Amino acid sequence: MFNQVFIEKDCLDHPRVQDILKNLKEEDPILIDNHEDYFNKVKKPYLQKRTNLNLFIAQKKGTLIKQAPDAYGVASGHHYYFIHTYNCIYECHYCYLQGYFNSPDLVFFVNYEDIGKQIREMSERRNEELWFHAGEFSDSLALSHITGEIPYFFELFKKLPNAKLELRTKSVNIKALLIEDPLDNIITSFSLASKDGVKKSEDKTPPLAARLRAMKQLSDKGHPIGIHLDPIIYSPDFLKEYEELAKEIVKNVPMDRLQYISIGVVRFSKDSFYQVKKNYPDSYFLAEEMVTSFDGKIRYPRPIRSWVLGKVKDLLIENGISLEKIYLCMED
Amino acid sequence: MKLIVFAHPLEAMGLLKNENCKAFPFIFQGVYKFSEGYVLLTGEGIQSASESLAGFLGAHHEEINEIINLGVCGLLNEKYEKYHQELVEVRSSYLCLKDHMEFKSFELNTQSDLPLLDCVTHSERIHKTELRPFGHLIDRELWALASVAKKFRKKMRSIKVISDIVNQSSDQVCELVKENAETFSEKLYEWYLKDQKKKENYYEDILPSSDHYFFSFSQKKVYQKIINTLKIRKVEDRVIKSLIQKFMDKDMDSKKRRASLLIEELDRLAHPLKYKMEEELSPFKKHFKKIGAQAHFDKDLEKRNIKISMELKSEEDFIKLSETLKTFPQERWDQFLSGEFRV
Repeated sequence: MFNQVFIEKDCLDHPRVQDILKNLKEEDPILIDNHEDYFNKVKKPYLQKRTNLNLFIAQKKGTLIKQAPDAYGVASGHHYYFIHTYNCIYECHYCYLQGYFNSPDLVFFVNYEDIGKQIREMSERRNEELWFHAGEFSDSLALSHITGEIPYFFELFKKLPNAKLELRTKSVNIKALLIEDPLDNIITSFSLASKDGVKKSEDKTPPLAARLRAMKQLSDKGHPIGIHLDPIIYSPDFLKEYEELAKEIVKNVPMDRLQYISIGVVRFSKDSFYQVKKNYPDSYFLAEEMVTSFDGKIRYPRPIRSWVLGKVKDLLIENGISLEKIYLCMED
Repeated sequence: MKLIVFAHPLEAMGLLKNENCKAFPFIFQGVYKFSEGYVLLTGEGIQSASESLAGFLGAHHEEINEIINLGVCGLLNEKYEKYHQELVEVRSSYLCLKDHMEFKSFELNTQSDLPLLDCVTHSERIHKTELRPFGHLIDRELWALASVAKKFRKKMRSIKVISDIVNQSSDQVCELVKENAETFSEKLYEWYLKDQKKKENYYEDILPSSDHYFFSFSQKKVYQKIINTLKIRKVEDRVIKSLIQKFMDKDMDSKKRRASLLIEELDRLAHPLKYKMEEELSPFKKHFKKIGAQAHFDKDLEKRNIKISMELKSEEDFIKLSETLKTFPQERWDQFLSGEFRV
């Protein structure tokens, strides 16, 4: 999977690092002082993730938990995200990570205890609903069989009733979750697109049918489920495709297990948009007109995106999903 | 025309000899001409390489459409020992100035079936294993060449023979390169020959015949952009061709007019939502147009604001404008901006 594995000397003896190396069957890692001496130090082309992907195993220093932007999660509660991995193995054509880091290489931060300590302190100090999102800079589950963090976070959140953890994913890597007893405050949320949308824009991700199966398995076991229909990309057939998707969702996830569905329309920062055009010039969403919108991001013009969001919302409601469970993601 | 760039004459021997290259009179030495283009010998190091390439391109950039760097390099990572003395193609180029890694890197135009590796150009004759995380190869010129090529907006490729492996002294390396110079040079030339034989697959663009259509320079650019969008949309060639034919069949006295109509029709096909928006905006425009006023909407339709311009010549004009503003369908306007319309 990785061309070369680099490990910060200080964490070589960490048991989690040894487990990761064992899981990767990596026998020849290179020791380094600090991942920052290499990662992001030079501009490494994004598409080299296909042929020359490196892994850095390191300890995260500095800010471990950050406040999430407005309209990031459900309206109730305060939202934060924590960083335990940089970058992702998937290749979604619209992914903002293309323009975020200067390298597609992965970094695993192994000091979960430090993240956990901050989460615990925040939750105990504040008597209000706090949401912690994993997966802002990576897929929360795609590599969890290698990194092995799931049991740690279940143990942590078991004792923090006012805190919620969202694991955002496109993967079907749910083995570790199925072993755990479900917790009301750990929600596994799946990012979904229409069947055709997955095929056209989400390279290397599991197909839609597999994601729906994984959702069913988890909800059958009692795990709370979240869904992100985000980013929605317009195509002449998108209404038909999203109608099918709404029906599939209702068929696979019991409504009492479904916590929320977010809907959002495709959007890019200026840097990401430049990278997307460079890396995936034939992506079908580049055929539509986009404009610089209210927050400087590049989106469809306001009437179009309102129309798209309205239509998808109507489809979900028509198929039996209650309005209270639907929220708009990153829209004004 | 091509520009083949080498650092050293020994690397260029194969091509210079076999392609019957002739010294080309230029401000500095090291420029040769042959049937398919020019050969440039830059000398060693980043300064020499950038000076030579920039100097040459300054005078001849209009003739050059492709730059190929051929040369030898060292291998930083023993993991790739199997490529020792073999040809590789460079994918990305990085720079290390003494001990400092430069952030800027360059992506090269890779096309061959050769193994793709990354190269660090070093300001000194040095082999450092610490550079392994950045690249597999090490040389003395490539980053400088890639930087100049980018400045001149020229595509560049780089094919290298790996002459030596990390941890050898620079004297040993020089000795090795000299000993094998002829072999390396032949290898590079053989690659060049083989590469030239390959036919590139150019996408056949659908260009209307100039017998019937006249496109201005800016119209050509617009036309090309629309065709690209149609390709992304997977619109079949036959649909485009039938539109071209449709306007050819119409009796028109102006080729320019025919070109404008074709562009508009193709644009409708490429951007249906844009035209839908215009259609939806039309009644709002008409509302003001009927009294001689013009409505200007936010070009991205992000803001609700509407600017009205009108020349008011009489009291009657004031009254008309006042009535028109009062009767503006505000509710419908809000609905439109909120996405309530049929597509």
